[in-house]
Amino acid sequence: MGRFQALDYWVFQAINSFANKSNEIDFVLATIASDFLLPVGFGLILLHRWFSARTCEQRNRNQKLVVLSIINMTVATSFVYILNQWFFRERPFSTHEVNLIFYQPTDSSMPSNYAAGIMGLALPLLRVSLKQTILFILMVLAGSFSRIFVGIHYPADVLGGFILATLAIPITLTINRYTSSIQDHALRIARRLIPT
Amino acid sequence: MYFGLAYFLSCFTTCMGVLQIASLSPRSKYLRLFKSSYLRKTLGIVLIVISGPLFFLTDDRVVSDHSGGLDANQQAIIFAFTALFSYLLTAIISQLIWKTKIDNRLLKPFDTEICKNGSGDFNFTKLQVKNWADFRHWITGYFRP
Repeated sequence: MGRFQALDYWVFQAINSFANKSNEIDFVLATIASDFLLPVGFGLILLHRWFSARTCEQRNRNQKLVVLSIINMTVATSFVYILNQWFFRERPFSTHEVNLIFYQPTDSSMPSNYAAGIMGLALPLLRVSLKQTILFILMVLAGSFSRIFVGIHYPADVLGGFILATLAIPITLTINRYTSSIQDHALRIARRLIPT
Repeated sequence: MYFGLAYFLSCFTTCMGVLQIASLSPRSKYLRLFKSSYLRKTLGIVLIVISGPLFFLTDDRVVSDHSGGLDANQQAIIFAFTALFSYLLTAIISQLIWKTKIDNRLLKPFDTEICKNGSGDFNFTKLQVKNWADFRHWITGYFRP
C-alpha cells in the first residue's frame, strides 16, 4: 500500500510540477478542470444526439443511449457518494506542498467524483462510432489530467473514478432492462411534446 | 453578473447553436432559423464557439459552490431548463419566420390520434395546444362517472 501511495504521489508530483510555469497553460487547464466545461460539453453532445437522427430506428437508438448515459452517470456518482460515507482521503494540497491553481474542494479526494461522472456519461456512448469514441476518450483524459495538473486529485483518485464508472455499467444495464417499459412510455410522451 | 445567470446565458447560447446543427437532420426541420443549411451550420458553430469565451473570460469561473459557484445539482437543473427553453424558443421563432410545419411522420405513433380531427398539418404551437387539450381530456376522464 505504501509503495502504491508513493508511486501515486510521484506521478502526481511529475504532472503538478508543470503548474505555475505559464499563466496561459494554467488558465487553459484550470478551465478544462472546471466544473463547467466538460459536463456542459457532454450535455450538449447528448442534446445533439437526441435531435439528430435520420430514421425512426436511429432516433430510438439515440434517445435510449442518452437515457442510458444519464443512468450510468447517476449510478457512478451514487457509488462515489456511498463510498465517501466510509472512506475519506485528504486532497493533495492538504498534506503536501503543491502548485495549486484551483479552488480547494472539501470532499474526499478518492475516488474522483468528476472522473466518475464524465466517464459514466461517456462509457455508454463509446460504441457509437470510432471518431466519436476517440473524441470522448480525449475529453475524459483531458478533464482527468487537468484535475491532477491543477493539484486537486492524485492519479489514483481519477483511476478510482474510472473504475467506479465501469463497475456501474452492469447495474445500469440491469436498471435499463427492468425499467425498459417505463422508459418506452416516457419516451413516447417526450416525443409527442418534443417531436423528433 | 450573478454566476447562475451567466451560466444560464452561456448554456442558452450553446444550446441554440447545437439545435441549429441538429436542424440539419431532415427530422428536425421545424427547428431551422435559416433556410440555407450552410448558414445554420455556421450559426451553430459560431454560437458554440463564442459562448465558451463569453463565460470563462468575463469573470473568474473557477470557484467552488460555497463561494458563489454552482453545485452539480444546480448545474444539471439549469442546464435541463436552458435546453428546454432554447428548444421552445427555436421552434416558435422558426414557426413565426418560416411557417414551418411538423412532418406527420415525426408524430408517429400518435399521428392518427393527433390528426384525425385536423387537417394533418400541425405547426409547433398547434401541436402543443392539441397536447394540452388531450392531457386535460385524459385527466378529467378519471373523474367522470
